[in-house]
Amino acid sequence: MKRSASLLALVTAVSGASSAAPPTPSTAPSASAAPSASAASGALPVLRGADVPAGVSGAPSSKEWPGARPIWPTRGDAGACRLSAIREWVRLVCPLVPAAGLVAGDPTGVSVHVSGQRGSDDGTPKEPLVTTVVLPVRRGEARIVSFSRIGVEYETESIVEGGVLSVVWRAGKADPTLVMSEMPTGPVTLGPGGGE
Amino acid sequence: MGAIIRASALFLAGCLVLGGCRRADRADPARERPPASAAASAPPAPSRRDEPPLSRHGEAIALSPDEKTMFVADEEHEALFLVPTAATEPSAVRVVRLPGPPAEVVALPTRVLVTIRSLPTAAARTARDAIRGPVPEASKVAFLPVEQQPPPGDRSAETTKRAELVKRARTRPRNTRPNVFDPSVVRQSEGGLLLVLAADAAAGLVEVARVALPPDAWGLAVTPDEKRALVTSAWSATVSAVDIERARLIASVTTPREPRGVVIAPDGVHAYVSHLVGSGLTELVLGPDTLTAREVPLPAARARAVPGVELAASLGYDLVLSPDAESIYVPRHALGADGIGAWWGAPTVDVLDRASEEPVAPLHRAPVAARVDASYVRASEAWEALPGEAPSPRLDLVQPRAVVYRRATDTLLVASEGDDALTELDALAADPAMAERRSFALGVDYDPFGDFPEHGGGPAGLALSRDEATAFVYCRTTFDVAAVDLRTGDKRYVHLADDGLPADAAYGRRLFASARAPALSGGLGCAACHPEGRDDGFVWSEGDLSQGRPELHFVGSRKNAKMRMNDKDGTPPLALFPRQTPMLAGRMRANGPYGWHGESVDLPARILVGTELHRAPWQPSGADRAAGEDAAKLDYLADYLRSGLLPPPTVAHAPTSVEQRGKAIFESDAARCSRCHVPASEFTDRTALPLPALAERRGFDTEPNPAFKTPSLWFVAGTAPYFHDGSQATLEDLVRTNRDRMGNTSQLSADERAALVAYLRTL
Repeated sequence: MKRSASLLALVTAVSGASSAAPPTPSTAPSASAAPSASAASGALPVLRGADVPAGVSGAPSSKEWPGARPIWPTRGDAGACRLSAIREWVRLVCPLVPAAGLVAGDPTGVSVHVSGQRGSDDGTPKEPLVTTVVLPVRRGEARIVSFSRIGVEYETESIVEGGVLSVVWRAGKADPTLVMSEMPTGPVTLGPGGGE
Repeated sequence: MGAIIRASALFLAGCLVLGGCRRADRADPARERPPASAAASAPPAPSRRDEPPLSRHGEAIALSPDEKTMFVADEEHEALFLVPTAATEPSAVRVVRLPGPPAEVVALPTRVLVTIRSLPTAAARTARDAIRGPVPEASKVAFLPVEQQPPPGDRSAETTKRAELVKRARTRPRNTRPNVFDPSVVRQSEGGLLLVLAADAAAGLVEVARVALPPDAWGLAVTPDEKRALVTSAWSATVSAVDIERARLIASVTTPREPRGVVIAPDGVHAYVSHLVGSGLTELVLGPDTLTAREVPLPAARARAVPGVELAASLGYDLVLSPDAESIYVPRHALGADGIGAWWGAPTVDVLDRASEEPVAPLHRAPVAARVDASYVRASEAWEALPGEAPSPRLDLVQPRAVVYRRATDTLLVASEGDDALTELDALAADPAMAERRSFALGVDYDPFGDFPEHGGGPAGLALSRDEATAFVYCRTTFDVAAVDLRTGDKRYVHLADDGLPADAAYGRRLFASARAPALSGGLGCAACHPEGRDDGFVWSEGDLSQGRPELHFVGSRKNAKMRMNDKDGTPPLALFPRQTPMLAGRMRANGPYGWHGESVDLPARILVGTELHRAPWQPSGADRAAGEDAAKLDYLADYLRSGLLPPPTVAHAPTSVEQRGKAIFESDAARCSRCHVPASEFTDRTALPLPALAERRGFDTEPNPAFKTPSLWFVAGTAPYFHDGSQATLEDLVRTNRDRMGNTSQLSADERAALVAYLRTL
């Protein structure tokens, strides 16, 4: 419970810092809004096949990523995550996300890094909690990545599902499709005492 | 349609201003009397020939090519409703009596095609008329405004209503003898039909041709040239090709169990069929005078499977092609699928790439280990989201019944029978069920006692307007059509008819379909595993997954039991036993006992046990409630099982010599089949006998109690696989390998075994 409280404090503190994140080009989805064919109507481009060289390259180094092209998912909303691409590699940097993982698809080259530093005993963060996912986007391949978020119910926090990235590049198609979907944001009801 | 929505919105605004609205009183004919307007009373006009149909794919609801009329196939009332889409009064509605229960309808420019599941014999007709209730009347069709729901958090009215309903349920005189039918009579059929109907000024539609088909004609699709149709016959496990112009059967082919939805590719040659049981599709090739079939594997929810395990599927009622015809989408249940909080599996939409015949979804593989440089981030507990775990099953996709493709947005609209929802998914995602865009709640005015809606219950059919701005949803348990404005979310309802069953059984019908009644299950309706009272062909896992007192639960797979609450050091390993879903329809006449070991004294007692079995161990118990104030629900369900859940149709015929020989063997003192499978009592003695144990099946544990109640053999031909563990795929296998385990069949010759199987197929 102590750990939970400190994590909650962290989230609260970082939430304020998240306003510094670059503005997303699409608005949050609403219950009645018709889904758009592409949410990337704003400033950031989507990943096109023409930008992705054929063949297989190694994952970019940490020094390469700062020069990567910012992109936006083909469909859906990336929320606070920032996406960028180098060659056939895509990186997602997601603040406030405590965990992510590959649900399905070839794990080769896929990496997940959770980082952040606490600055004091009261949980005040020195560096914000960030999860970084790097994965290849190649022709004829598909992957699904899930994200967690921190939910709060009855003043107790828990780690709950926080969204899904689907990457599909079907054989013969010119472009890959990156779909990001936000999972429900209502009350979380998991585990004993959580109800149905 | 826009006018309807605007009118609805105006009405709604008026309600808000005036402080409340009452639904139109359907019992007051004066309120429903149509205005004496020629326009309002005109029957639906035939479409112009140059207007293409909105869809050549059958659904329980279809729009005319000019979108002025919706055709609704109402199976329970054995009627086709013709409802003008712009109508607000019942005067222009027509109700066309049909010769049997319809399933799907396609509206072509000059013809309307309807599948008829069964043309009952005279005896069956009499029995069915008694079950079905009064013939629906057009004048009683009600056009309803959307009612305002109570503000969130204000449950005072709900609590009061619930208390009233509980009191009424306790004091209501019970149906001492519900309208229990004789399965051997009500099932009698002269076969299925494809009806060809044409516009008629007086009647709305009149029959111009009919084509005899194998019984249980269900799914329907028409070729692009509109000259031929394909019809699935579910119980008969066949698909038939029909020449529409000549009204003749071209050919029929056999398929795996329960073929349902059918779509035809733009080439008019290739077609695909989904199945209620099993994960594969059937591909059809339609020649000038031929029809061939082959199975196409489509593993369910690959992204949710344990590595190396192929998941089973059920509830493939419908499927749809992408506009470019490169992909096939099949909403259904993936049984045993993994996911956060998944106990039975998960609803899925599986996508098949036609060119490669491979699923689009990637395989679930070994998890990727994360590097964590954040000491204060703790690891997830077992009940929380684990990194890389598939998302939780979506309740608003449970029991999918119908799907359409919305090409303007590359999304899918899926009707969920269990959750009374219409849900929009991203069709371009690897697994669309993990990429939900939004969901429309169709149910309104929920009964606080029964947890089902007064309107919008059990969505089962979909039609999309040409501009893709309005979805028309047939809601089968409440007999409504919901018109959903996909731009605004506004919904408007047309109530076609009241349930013809006695009140208790009608109540049971809604409970049976709904996944929203927490007293009965954990987010899964009875109809999920017993679709139409039949079975899903799946072998479930039963075990004690509880904390504290022994408590049995079902899970879809061992993986789904990962959240077992008492899984601590020193706890015995989890033991799971196989339980193949039994068929219910037509097998529920006996007082009892029920249960695998005959442990439930009567049917309500067994349903009570089921309320515990069919939920996750971490979900609140339902039995305590169901045994208390909600006990009436058990009776409602029992009434529906006995008087509303019709058995599959079967063509009655004089027994062949082989079948007669098989009957003699079955009843002989040598074989002794009929000693336990007593013909006079549904072919069972309802006694649990300790037979020699079957070989332990992989993935299951040794059964401590080998005494299983003799199962009924009614309809046994269509309920494969067999035995409680599903270890025998066919009746032939069962009889061949039985030897003397049940009765004495080791002495039978191959011909005698074949005769015995032939007889069993007649039951």
